[in-house]
Amino acid sequence: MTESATTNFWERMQQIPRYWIYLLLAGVVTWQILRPLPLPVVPSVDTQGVYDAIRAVPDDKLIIISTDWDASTEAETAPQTAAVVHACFQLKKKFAIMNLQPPMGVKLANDIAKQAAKEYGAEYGVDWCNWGYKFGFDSVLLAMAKNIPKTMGEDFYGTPVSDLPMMKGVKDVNSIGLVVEITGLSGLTEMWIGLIQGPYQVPFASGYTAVMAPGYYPFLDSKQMAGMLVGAKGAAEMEVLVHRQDRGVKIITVQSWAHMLIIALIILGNVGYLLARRQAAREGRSAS
Amino acid sequence: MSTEVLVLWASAIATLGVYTILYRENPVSRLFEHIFVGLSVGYLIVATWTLNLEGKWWNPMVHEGRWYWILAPIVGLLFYFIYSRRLMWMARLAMGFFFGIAAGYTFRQFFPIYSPQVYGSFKPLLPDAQLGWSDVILHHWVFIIILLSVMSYFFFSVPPAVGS
Repeated sequence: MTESATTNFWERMQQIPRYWIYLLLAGVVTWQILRPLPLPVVPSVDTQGVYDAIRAVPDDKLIIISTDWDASTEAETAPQTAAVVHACFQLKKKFAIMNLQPPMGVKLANDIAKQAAKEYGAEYGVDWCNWGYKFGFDSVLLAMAKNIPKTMGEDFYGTPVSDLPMMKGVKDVNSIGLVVEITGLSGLTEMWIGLIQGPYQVPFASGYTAVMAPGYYPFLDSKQMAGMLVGAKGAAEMEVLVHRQDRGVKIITVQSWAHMLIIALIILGNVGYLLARRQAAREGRSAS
Repeated sequence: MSTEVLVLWASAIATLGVYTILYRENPVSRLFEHIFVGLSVGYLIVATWTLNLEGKWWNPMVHEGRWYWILAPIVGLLFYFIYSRRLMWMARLAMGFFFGIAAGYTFRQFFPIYSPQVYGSFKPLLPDAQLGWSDVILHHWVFIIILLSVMSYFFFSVPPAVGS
């Protein structure tokens, strides 16, 4: 059987060894890290919702940033956390970091907040604080709704939270103006909404890894969430809103070019498949 | 070289080492996989003790005179009676206790989580002063059709007849 050159080429295009594709992907990623070609980042309605929710918090209320993430999702959740922290400092809103799970998140978020606080001259205990990792999931939230100082006990540094100046007057869930939960774990949002947002009508916003975000859109549609940051894209959009393009924009630039490569390869593969099939039909044989 | 730079180099080498699995199974990726697993298990053990057990169980029990916390590990250990046919009922006691707590929490959370979504699915299907036909058809009709399709799929799915 004689095969034409065209058929051979297209059939070969469908059988590219996978390590060539990985190598090509690594090449595009390296190119974009070293010589980035930024693409426009336009804040979505969902991201704008997070920013507006922070801005709408009354001055006498606290924002809780629940940083339920660790190193495994850090590429997406750390820039989200940083952008939210910058928004709080810029809008002069007091916030407390806390963490239900995994425990590493509270340390990573603390480093981010400490770094950002230096830029704004913000003081620990006055403008922001870290309540630390609190084990117990539902029990922590239920207890916190009734009595925050008693439930939180000591902060990240071992100081009783009731001794912090910004905690003066903070008693229970009524002292909370917004909860921003940033996580790579599913299930925690349901706890926050089921035990805090729903029963006490505390505004709630969130930041998720891109892979888990689609499951939470119904909460946006039903207005249970004021806004949502979706993966590195959400972080980049939030960075645009706080006029501080940083790691989120860098990551989404690289990611966008990598996605474009994958889309181009999918198109190439499909075109190759159709052309190879047409060629094979013309020659009266089955395409490989 | 500063500690920060050393940490960055170690992270980069370990990450690339694990990613070599993309080429094929090899000793380098295995080595870094074991390092990562060891690190995370070690971290978990220390974190469980320092962030949880020490402050919430050990210190109250040993230093603050709340001796009754000794009952907590006893309840926890009851789970292991699952391996004894004769004493399995004791494991069931512990399981029942925790099932009850979990069921209570779930019940309490169910309505605040889902009822707003049920209300949210009641969308106007005719245009009004704020919504034109295009909005209603694009957003609400599409939403309702998909909602009903998905619900009918799950409600009316039947298992295939045996042997078919």
